[in-house]
Amino acid sequence: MADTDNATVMIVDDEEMVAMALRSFLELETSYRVLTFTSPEAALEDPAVGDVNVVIADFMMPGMDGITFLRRFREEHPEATRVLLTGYADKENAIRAINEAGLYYYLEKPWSNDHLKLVIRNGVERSTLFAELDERVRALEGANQELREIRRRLVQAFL
Amino acid sequence: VTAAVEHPLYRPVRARIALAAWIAALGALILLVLQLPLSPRFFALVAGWCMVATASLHWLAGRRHDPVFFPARFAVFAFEVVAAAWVAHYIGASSWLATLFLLFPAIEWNMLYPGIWGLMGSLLAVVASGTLIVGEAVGFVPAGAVFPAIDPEYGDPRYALAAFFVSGSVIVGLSTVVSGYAEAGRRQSRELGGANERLREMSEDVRRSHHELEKAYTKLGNTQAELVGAAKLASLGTLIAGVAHEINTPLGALNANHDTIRRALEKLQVILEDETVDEHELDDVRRIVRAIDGVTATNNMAVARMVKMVDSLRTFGRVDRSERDHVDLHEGIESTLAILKQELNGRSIAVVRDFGDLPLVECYPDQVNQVFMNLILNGAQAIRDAGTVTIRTRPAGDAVEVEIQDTGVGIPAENLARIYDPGFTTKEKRMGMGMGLLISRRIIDRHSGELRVDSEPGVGTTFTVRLPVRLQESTDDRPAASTATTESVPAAEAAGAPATYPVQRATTRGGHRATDH
Repeated sequence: MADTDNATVMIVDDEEMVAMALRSFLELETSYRVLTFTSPEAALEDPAVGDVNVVIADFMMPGMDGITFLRRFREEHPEATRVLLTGYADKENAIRAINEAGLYYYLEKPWSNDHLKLVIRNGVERSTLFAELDERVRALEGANQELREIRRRLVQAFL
Repeated sequence: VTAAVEHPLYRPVRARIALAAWIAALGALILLVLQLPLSPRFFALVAGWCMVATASLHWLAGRRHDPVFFPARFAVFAFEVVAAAWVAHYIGASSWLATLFLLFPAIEWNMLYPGIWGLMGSLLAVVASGTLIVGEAVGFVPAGAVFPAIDPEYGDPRYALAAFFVSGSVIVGLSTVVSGYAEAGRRQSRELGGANERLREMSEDVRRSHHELEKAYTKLGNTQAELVGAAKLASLGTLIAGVAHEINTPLGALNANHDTIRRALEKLQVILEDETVDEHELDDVRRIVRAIDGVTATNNMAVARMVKMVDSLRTFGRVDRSERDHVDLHEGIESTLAILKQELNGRSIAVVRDFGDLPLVECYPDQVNQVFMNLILNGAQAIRDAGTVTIRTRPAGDAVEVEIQDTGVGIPAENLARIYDPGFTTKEKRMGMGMGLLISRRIIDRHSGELRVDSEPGVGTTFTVRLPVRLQESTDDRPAASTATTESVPAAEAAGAPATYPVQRATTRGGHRATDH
């Protein structure tokens, strides 16, 4: 998880060409594992997703809009950095996305590969840092638990 | 303006008649008392006094006596001239003195008709009668040719007195009758003039209001044309926004892919700069080639999408053939749906096509497509969250019917009659300006078709377009060749003329409708 080179990036866009363009670019430029979905429902239901570092979703999709998707995806994958890619930029939706889905970045179509790469790299870093933090907190908690156990045993031994 | 004319002899006239009667009675009394015979000389004196008195009265009254009743005035004048001659003759005055008598009517005439006509009339009278009188007196005219030779009686001043009174009564009576009629005529003409003035004012008012109506009519027509133009621009805006969005997606992909290919090629160049390529580098090359392959496939997709979009636009707008044509309406519906894809898919609106077997329809395809666009867009915008727009087509005798049904909010019965009114809209401002249905109806009217609406609030609305297979253009209002043209609209149509609107057929159906989701 701490290895940023092996991070997972998920792309959800009903336009296959967009998903494919992003995938091709990321595969060429990075060593991330790239998952693409053309339906938000499929992305939510796929059991083989595993950990996701960055999730990029289109805004306008039939069935479910990008904000709803990201909000629901967060419930299962709180570790993923959420990015909205939209060709339909308006302030109202941007605010909604930030508030409802805890959005990290709001990208507009057409996007620049360089910019996208930077956003994804930062997103992955953020995600891995969170994961590291999470791991350390867990390690600390584990150590704490262990200490408590030792103390309990010590107390038991004395009594 | 004034009281109605009761009688030519208006009120003060009666007083004057009384006065004349008194004077006449006095004259007669004098004659009786003095036992004077009614000789020709007496009448000559009466006539003479009449003349003198009339002239004097006119002299004193000046121009206050309007020369309204010209023939009467002239008759008096002529009478005076003759009277002067008789007086001169019978009182035995010299011919020169008689000529002087003629000055009285001349002066009077001049007072009545100042200016060149009065002067000429006077001169004529003086010269004519003067010639006769003087001519007879000097023997130029044979004696008795003008005036009968009656032996004059001289010297009795009683005659003069009696004649004075009798002539007074004649003058008063005559002038009363004359001026009475004149006054009545004046009144009548005043009244007529008043009525005439009122008529003139009224006709001026009518003319003015007609002018204003005309202006309003023109303005209304212009406003209507402007509104129609603006609505066309607005629907053009919707169209452009849809197209822009539709093109944005493949363009974005192409843009990114272009950059990806450039990067891939750079990477390949770096690898190929080495003389030797090791196994690890070969893996990289394979990976890069795979990426390029993927990108190319995506590019194909993107380009195909853009080509399709442009095709749809061409079909929709009939850029290549904007004149009347025999067309497959399904083509137009499909191109409209392609352009509205964003509006429909972006909002979870399912489109159901229930197409029948339609013959080619003769129409102005660009205009008919505009109707489809308006109706489908209306249907989509009537749907709050998710819903279905169903498009049904079917042949109907020598016509075809296209039904556009939505599962939107529906139109309340009280609004059904107003949906074709210019500017009527229930949408938010940014969505439209309430001209879509008016324009659609007009287009359908021009195709001699029908546009019907059925709606049930909460269930949805169905618009049915009925177009004859063979185009019979209605009236002289030929459709403009291009949708971008603004036409002037007859104001009667703009004003509503609801009786001719097919909206009368609009009904609100009870119960549920079959919807095929």
